Amino acid sequence: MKGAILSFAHMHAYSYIECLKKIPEVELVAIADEVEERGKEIASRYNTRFYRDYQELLRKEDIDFVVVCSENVRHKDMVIASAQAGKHILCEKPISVDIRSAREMIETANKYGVQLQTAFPVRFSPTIRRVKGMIDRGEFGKIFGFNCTNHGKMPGGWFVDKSLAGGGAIMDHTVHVMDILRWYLGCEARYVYAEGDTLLHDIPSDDVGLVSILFENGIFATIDTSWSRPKSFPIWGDVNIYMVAEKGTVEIEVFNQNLSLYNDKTMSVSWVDWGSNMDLLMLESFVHSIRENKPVEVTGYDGLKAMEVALAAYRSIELKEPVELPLEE
Amino acid sequence: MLRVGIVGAGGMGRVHADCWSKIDDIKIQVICDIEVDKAESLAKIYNADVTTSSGEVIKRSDIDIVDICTPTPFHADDIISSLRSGKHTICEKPITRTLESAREVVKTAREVDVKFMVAHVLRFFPEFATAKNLIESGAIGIPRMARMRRGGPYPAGKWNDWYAKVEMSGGCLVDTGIHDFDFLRWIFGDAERVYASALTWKNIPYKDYGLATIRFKSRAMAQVEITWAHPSGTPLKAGFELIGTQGMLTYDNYSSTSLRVMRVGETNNSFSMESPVAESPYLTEIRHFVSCIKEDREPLITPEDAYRALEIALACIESARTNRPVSVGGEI
Repeated sequence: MKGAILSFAHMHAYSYIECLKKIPEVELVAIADEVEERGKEIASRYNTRFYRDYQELLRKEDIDFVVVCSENVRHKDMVIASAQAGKHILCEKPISVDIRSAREMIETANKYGVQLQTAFPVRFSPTIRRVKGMIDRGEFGKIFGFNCTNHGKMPGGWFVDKSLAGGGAIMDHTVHVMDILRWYLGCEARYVYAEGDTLLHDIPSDDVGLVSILFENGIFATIDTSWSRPKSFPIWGDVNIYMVAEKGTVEIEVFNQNLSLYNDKTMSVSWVDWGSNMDLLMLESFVHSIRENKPVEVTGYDGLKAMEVALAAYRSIELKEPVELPLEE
Repeated sequence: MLRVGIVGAGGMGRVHADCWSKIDDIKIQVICDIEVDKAESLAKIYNADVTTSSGEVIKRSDIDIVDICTPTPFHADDIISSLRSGKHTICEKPITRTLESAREVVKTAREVDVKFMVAHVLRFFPEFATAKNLIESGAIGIPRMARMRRGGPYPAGKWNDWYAKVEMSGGCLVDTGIHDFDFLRWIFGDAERVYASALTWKNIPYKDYGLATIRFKSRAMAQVEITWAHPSGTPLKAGFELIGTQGMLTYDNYSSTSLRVMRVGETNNSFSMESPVAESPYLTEIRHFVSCIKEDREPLITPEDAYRALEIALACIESARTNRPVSVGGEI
């Protein structure tokens, strides 16, 4: 299986390239990056070809798949061009920044017979999967609600530029948890109410968000999407999902598999993750799906429905009232 | 010597009685409960009189302080008549069950020349008081966001099963959430609007659970999770994250605890956690009230504070019923 990474704008690309190297059946043929210096450095480090123009890469290279890691607003053009070139696509989340382009991306992939997977690595967390099994076996009876967080540190760069990211913390951090809730419940959001603001940092985008979701089946959830981890926090952030059900309460802290490192050399404390590498599990699943010609585990449509909740949250903040889904284009 | 009459000899009445008995120059004069056995068993310990009528307690001339520890809907009438009879009055949270009656209480408290405090005991818990002090000292910069968690198993099997009746207890957001709402106001000031989802109105027997989003006039925001849905026998949960422009304070009682005991039992083994402190927060609270009386100071929790906490709590269950944000902070 031959693949390429299109853009290193999103830092997850650095993890994905490491993971691809670990999958024996994958050959990383080339990368494209609009930032020449950065791209050339990475290409030489990983001993792969470099293109400044991803279109040229798509024209010249004989590859099976691409991984798209550009700024959110650029996903659309890269995904559509890759689909037209007949490449399977793993696209970084959020899939896009508006419903219409997400739909166009999905339709183009269908038209050209390629698979489009949204990069939701949390789906592949062994902890998340353990609980999915418990829920599917009905171990907790009726589910009532979820209290969730996806916190991070303020990432800066294009993430805080709405013209490139399509939003701020809410756009960045609603979708991982939303995807898990949809997967667990097999049900869509009906109403979204949100509060969001710029409260912690001097940046142009929102940095805090509390997104409340009422599902079609009456189950409710809140996702805290804030970039609220201080610079001194010992790890990048968290994905926590607390579930209350008829037969119990479940507390998932996906990234609470850490060692505490007290380091006199840096005079700092950090938490070092010893959990399974979800990015690797996700990429293995993607490669396996396209090789076996089976449907990918997380689709473009999953990406669209998770993003829709973030978009509804922004609309709710504007209107100061709950917003009904599905949204118009 | 200050003489106390305790109205309500249930769980909180017992806790308070123990606290009063530990303070010098205090005498528990009378204990009242509509169930005479409860009043008698508690009165015996402190050598106090017994009555089944709160009116009897309030009108006695040998009482200086009335301590009201009854279920929420009975608070209003007893507070108002106690204050009008010139008795210093301390009452369990929430102040009352409705905003109308809370308004009456606030009005009465303003008119009389005695001390009145609603027992929002969280302010006296060392973990919460320390957080407040740290924030005041600028430890996290300007406080801007909070996450609060609190709860445990359903409080079933109390008098008349009153917690299970929303019209009496208000459910978990009103009865338990009010602790956090008061604490958040202490940190962030007045709230502006509230949105909440909850099981409160869904008639699910012995389960309640609520998630509230609160927006403050300062633009700060908070998320509060309150549960009465843990399996019985599991430890209470409490925790917070307080986030400012320059840092964050976190607390979680499951990890920040100085004592865990795993006990072999006759029938069931058990696990418990606690964090013993030199003085119980309930005693600190009652000592504070006594010193306010003796030194003629305003208690830490004003009648308006208690009203505002209830206002947020009731706005939460209203929002949960209607799926609409609810404004708070209007004139009392």
